[in-house]
Amino acid sequence: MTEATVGAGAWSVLELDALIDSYVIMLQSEIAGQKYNKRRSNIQLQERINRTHASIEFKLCNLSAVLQDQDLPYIQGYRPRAHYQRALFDQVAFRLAEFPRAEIGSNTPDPSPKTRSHRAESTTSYHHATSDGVPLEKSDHEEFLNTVAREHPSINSSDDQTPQVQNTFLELLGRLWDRSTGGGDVAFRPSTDSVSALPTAPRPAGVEAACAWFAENAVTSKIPKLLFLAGGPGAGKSDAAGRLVAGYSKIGPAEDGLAHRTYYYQTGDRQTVLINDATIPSDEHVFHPLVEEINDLTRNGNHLIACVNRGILVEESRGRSNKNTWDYTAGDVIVKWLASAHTDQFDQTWEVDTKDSLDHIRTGYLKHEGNIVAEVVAVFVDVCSLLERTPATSITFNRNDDPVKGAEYKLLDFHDRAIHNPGIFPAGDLLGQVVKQISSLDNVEIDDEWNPIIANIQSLSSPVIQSSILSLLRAAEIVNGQRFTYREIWGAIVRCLVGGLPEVLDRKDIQREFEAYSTFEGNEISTFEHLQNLAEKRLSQALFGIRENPERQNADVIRNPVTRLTNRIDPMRDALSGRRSDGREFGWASPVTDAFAGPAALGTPLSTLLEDLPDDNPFRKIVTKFDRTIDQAFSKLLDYGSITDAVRFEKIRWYGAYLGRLYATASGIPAFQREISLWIEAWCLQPRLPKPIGLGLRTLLRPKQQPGENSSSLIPVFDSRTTPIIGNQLSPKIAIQTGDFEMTTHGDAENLFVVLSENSKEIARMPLDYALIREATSCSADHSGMTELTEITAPRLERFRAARLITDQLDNASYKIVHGLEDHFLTVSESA
Amino acid sequence: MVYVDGNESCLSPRISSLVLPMNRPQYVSVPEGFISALAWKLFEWDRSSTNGTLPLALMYKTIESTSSKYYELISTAPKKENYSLFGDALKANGLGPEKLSSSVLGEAVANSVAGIKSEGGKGQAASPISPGFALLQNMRGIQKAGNPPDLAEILETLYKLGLPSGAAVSGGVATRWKTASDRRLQSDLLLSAMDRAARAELLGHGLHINVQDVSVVQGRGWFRKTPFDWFVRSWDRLTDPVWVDALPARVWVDWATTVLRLAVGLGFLWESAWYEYVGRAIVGEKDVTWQELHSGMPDCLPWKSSKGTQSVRDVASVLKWRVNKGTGVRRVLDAWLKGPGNDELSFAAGWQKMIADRSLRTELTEALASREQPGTNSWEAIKYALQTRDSSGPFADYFGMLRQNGRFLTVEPGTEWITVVASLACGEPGNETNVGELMTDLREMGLNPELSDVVALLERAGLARGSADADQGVIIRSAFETRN
Repeated sequence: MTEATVGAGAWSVLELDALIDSYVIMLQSEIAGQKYNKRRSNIQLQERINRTHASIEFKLCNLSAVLQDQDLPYIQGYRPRAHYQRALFDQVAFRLAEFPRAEIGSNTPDPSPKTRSHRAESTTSYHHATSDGVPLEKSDHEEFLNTVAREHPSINSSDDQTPQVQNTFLELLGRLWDRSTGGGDVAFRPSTDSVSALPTAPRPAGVEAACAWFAENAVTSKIPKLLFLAGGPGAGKSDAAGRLVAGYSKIGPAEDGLAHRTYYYQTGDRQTVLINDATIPSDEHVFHPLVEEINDLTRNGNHLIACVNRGILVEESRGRSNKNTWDYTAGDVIVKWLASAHTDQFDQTWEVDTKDSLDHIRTGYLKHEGNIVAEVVAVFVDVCSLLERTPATSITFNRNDDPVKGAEYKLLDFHDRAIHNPGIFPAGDLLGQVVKQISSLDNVEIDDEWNPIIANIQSLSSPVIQSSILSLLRAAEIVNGQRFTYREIWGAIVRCLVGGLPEVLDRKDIQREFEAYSTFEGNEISTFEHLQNLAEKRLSQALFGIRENPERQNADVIRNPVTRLTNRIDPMRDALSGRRSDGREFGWASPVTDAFAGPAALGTPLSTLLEDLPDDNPFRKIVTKFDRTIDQAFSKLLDYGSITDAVRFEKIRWYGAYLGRLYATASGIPAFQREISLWIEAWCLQPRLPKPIGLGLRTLLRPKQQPGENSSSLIPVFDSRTTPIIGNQLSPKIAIQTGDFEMTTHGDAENLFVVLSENSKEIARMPLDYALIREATSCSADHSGMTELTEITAPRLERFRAARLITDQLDNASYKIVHGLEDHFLTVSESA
Repeated sequence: MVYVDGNESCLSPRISSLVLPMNRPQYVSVPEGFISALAWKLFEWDRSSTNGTLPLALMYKTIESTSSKYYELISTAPKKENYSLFGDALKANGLGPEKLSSSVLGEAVANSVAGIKSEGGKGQAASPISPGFALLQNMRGIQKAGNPPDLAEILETLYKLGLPSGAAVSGGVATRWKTASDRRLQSDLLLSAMDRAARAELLGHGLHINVQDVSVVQGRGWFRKTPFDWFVRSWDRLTDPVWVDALPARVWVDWATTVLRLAVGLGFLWESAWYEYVGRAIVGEKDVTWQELHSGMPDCLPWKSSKGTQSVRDVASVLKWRVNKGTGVRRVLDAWLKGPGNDELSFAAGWQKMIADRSLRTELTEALASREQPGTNSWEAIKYALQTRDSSGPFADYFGMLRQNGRFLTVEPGTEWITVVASLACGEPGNETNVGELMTDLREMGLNPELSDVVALLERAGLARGSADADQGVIIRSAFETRN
């Protein structure tokens, strides 16, 4: 931090440079369609220069004005403010080459207010082109609508003419735009007046119980209550906190339309302090604001509700690590307790006496010199999957008993998910509510033969299909090792209902979009291709990010927060042959392939498939008129005389995949279901390993030189890669013969580790994730397999094996010289 | 050699400090060369060439014989007919049992220490797992040049640039490597026996430790928060006994080579970015202090988001031209400093003189706009230091950070690259750090990746589990943690 300016006066060149550095990075991100955090950038700038948050914000707006005057793109979030400093202009001019030009999705001053206002509302990248020349998607979509309007003059595309579909229904549908990826209705603050008309999601595990504990006697409580809701954005922390304080009298701050870090309420004789967003800098405390705020309210005997993320906890905890433990304040011990589940309890006047420490709830007493000062409850809102059953919990502080009562968090067997009502899962409850709300408008008259959105609503009205969708999302969580927050759940629900429309279409154009979903007049090929484009919005395609344009599909898969996760479990990645007559059978695709195998005269693929399936097959619940329209168009296409073989095969491939996805989606079959099921089994069996994983891991970690034989496992001692010696070793090489070892598992919430021990001594541990299970299950009869994940797992496995080669492990090492299929003992003595 | 005496270290930088004192590097074709270069800084070999005049170029295995009028190439690996002799030497140094065929033993050791063999390469180095094996090749043999750049000296200079102000250390990169190697030899009987046998049988007589100037080296601390800084911290940690004991011999060598590759690659990239930045500041007549100049440096290697397309993430062109421009600016500055009394000026006085010098500004403007490529050698040295070599097969390189894909060169760190960088950021084996700390290290290295990309790399390497909110707080646990 410079001493040249102490928060006042003209900005120095150094300060302006720092400002420009920050601005350029944000602008580059915005133009590239990448997310960036203005608030964090501001905080980082504050660390570099001694200026206030507001001063920096103002100067960034000045910078936008300079750029606007230069006809250069500027950050939409910093609206230009004129009357800027001459030095700022000079410095920008000096560094002009560093500012990105409007070569991508331009946000240069644009005469079109529509474009500008839309840009300001959303930071998602989907409205922009990529720099390698892929044109704007939104323009494409508008072009599509215009083309339809040109070809179908009867369709009224003007805003001021009579709509052909029910406004209420479309308005309801339009609300989903707020909850789609990048939608505006994602942040909640206590002063938010309007309550969303969309259904409210159940709270994550533990939040309901914690809120009930807080609310029960907050007014009359003899000691303060401290409630921490910890976790990432989109988990409903602020919503829960806001509803908790809704009945209390607000003291401040005054309503000014801005989101604040802290709010104050009167709760009986005490105040309740609500830290709604701990990432907003505090006005009172520059350093360690959370610690200081806890100190303040503890001194004053106030209640606290704090919504925090782990990053804040680690940052504040780290910042105090140099203090002597006897100097710890109430804030210090609580933040450390939250960050690491334990606190040093030596030479401390303040401590948190932990009562319960579950994966998702922690309770304890804050004590000062042994006296209870406050009850503390922390809920980690994203530990339990929203796609698993929420453990029923209650919290009551009683000096003689542990406060938390309730069931433990358990995972459901993947195969058993289908038999449960989807409403038992938090995400399922939400999905059910949304579908019910949208499908409750039974007076809507829309031609559903060509409408993928209506098809989606019809399919999703079945609880069986809802349940299958939830299974697919849960599979995506396991494959990616990442749990969905409500933001992603909402994103997935919206995708299932309206495909990727919110990313390419303004909600006011929904009506025009619906009008375009009507009978298409073209030849067999163009009609089918029109339907292929419409089918992008069908839930079985949209959920996995399947697009007709491969470039866009790739971009979607990389950037979209939902399809980034779901594309990996696209069922067509792993369409195993077989029939799921046995519930544990993993093959499933035979009915679909059989439907394409017979002579066309016997019927269309869809009708053949429906005839083939039993009456209770979920596929019957997902099929709609829209799918039959595609099916008929496909049959006509095959009968069409002017079709080339190349086109015919390409369309058969597409329709096969379409029906395959539809079939798998109906039954909740993800790609790699076997591995996903095994991971859940391993989690449930911990510390034991399921046999198929154990055998596979043993093959990966300790493969025999001669698979299938009673042979040694030999690791080359000096190779860069500790790839075990398999088969005939052409040139003699020094290796170490590894002994057998025990393998167990250890769980930490949903994270699972495999622990390797020898003679009860732990040698190494590594995450037992989907990638490792996939690799393990690819092994067969002592032979290692190879999958698309080998490149990821190989270095980890080699590191794991290399742990046998550290000096500490070499004392009684069994060295061998391996030559051909033979090996010879190699002895080492100190005699030189 | 003494870098700077104690008194001078307290002074402010001079204007001559603008030009970094490294010799120009050259592309190192085999990664083993980095450690071998250090080894040959500490040892001397009295053996002379056949005709007594040519310098000796050593390579462990030479695929085809190359003759040169500038050097005599010697293959140091035991010949097939000499496996027995090498085996006997190994037995004499403690390997057995006696009934084991000496020939098989000699061949097994010779094969086991063979290093990375690149496709189309004309030689194969020995893995430098101990001094005895590191000495089986030298830079002449690796570069096939009579007078290759002194890579060890370059590494020492990079290290000295990163020493904090007032820090006083004995020796430097090579000395610390030797200390670490000696520690391993004390505890690893097999390697120790092999090392003795290699020195005795493959190098023979005439090898002795060079008398090194181990004067205290003091840091100036003028290039804080740079790749040089990171290099010092990482090398000091890696050569510390706790890391030597925690890593298998070959893994330690791979990690050490990674740190040295990064020191050269990022160090010279930073240098190029520095010259370009300084050049622009002079052309723009910016009135700045040393600190202001130093703190305004941009990232030296743009690490774009993995969400971007390959063309957006391509760094080949920007880096290549940065190196060329940097080299051009360096030449202009060098020439200016040779002016009467210029190199004696303080930074403040020298800078004022520079920005007032219209002719200098013109030359710098031309250098910055030039399409000439004076930095080709440096660019190749940087590129190949950072680039992933073979991506699959027995010699797959998991330690690279740039990947060539057709005409594109993108930042795609290998799994073990992040393992090395993140584990060393943890301090000691078994320690933890968090992504925030790692990002600080990466920024020092001149890299500014997207946080989510770093977390994804860590997850892939099995070192961390991300969560939606942990942000910079994601906990990283070092690889090879010691468990008792």
